[in-house]
Amino acid sequence: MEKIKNNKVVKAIGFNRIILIGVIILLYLIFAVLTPVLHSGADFVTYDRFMSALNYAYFIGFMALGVTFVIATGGIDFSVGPVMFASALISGFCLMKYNIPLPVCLIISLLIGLAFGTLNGYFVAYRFLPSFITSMASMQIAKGIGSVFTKTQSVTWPGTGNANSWYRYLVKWNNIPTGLIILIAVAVICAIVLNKTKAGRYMLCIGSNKEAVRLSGVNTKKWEMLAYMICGLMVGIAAIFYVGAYTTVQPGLGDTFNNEAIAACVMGGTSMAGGLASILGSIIGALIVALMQEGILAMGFTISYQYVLTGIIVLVAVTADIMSRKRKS
Amino acid sequence: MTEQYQAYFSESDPEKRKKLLDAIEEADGQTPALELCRKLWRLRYEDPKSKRRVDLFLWEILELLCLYGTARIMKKSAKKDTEKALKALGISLASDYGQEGEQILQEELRNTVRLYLKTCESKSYGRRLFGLTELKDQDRPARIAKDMWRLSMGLPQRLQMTEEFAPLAKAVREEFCSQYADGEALLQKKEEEGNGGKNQKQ
Repeated sequence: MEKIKNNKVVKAIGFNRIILIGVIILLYLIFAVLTPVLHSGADFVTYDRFMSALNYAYFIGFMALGVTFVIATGGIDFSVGPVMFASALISGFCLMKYNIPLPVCLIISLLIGLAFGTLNGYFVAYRFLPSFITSMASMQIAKGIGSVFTKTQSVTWPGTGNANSWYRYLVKWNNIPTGLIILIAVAVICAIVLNKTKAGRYMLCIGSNKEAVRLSGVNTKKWEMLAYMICGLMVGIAAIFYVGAYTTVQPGLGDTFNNEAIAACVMGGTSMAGGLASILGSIIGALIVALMQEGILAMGFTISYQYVLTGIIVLVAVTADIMSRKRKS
Repeated sequence: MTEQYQAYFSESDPEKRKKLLDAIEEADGQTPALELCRKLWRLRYEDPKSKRRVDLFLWEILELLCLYGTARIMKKSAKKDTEKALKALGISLASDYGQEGEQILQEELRNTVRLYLKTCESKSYGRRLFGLTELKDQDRPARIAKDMWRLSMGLPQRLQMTEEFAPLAKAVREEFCSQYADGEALLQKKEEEGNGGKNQKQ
């Protein structure tokens, strides 16, 4: 094992990431074998299944990218799912009910995400509220606002064939998974911000030793708040990709996606104690979550099994993280 | 080293330190040692880009710890950033002042490490699990030792810059071991663990 770990290529990519890529391949093979057995007539290895898994990976991936910044600072955001739904509901309602132009609605979606991120960031960084309490509160606010604004009605964004459906090209265009290209491009930008800019360094250092960062003269409040704002913006983008893939949004939902986004981050190697984050790991984590969701559906199980599995993944990932740190210290 | 210098190197408040330097100048006049102290003071506490009170040496310590994480994948750029950080720590300045200069630099670096170790007692340093739980007091020294190991051995070895790191590594080890009775054993354990804990999370 040590020999493998010390291999140059393994070292460059990271042993944990290679394990995660192995998990993706293994899961894919398991689902490919089990789907026809458990669900007669069904096939997992199809283009449609692949695209469906990617559709799920897009919005989970964007949320995971955002949450990575927050976790890097040592905090947490439990509101990403409901905020994504609130963004999609409100901007969709503006589009369908008030005929506000589509580009403006897309910007509204981003702004709603950003507003929630700013709210969370303000209370955590400037009012010193624990991040889990703040984000739990904004989760409720987001769910409430989404329901109140749409009068608890679901919102359906324009489908294919409608003049306003060009936003769906962000997800798929002529069978090309444009969403994947955009997700990778955004992930690259996030990786540069986190690893190569002062802002990213500040966020990571805040996560590992906030007091030292403050004493060194850095405005820790500003940079901590920025992490939450980035998360909010990513959630706004996730909302666009969610409606781009599924078009219909229902109020009062979205909490289940929190766990999936956080699970993706933790699986990917972002430390729950803060100070260490992996953008690539979060993307791989999101792909695993999406693959599992698609696999479970393909095998003929209901979505409820996906919730059970996500819960188990969170437990396993968190326990593994704690145990690995205990063992090493 | 005179008592006045000892007082200067044991103080962590920049303004008080400046006053102590003024007192030394009044007593001894301008000396090469004092000149170096003032240079290091300016390098550490003055930042024309910032209106806030800064401690750039403390920041460089943090930056080097952060670079340990990125050095595995982006070795080249990490090396470049590390060279910059070491320059910002004034390591190249001391060589012009001979042995006395090196001693002053050592004391200044130890002063920075001492301040870093003090910040490790804070609540934020012991944060775990998204800030929901905290590190137990008895587990803190091991975590601090991990940071100290990264600064004194982990990063220099990873970037093959042992020579460039020598003054900092010495200051880190000496200061850590002076504050923790089992410091040497903790560092040794980290070293044995594996070139230790290179896959470890924070």
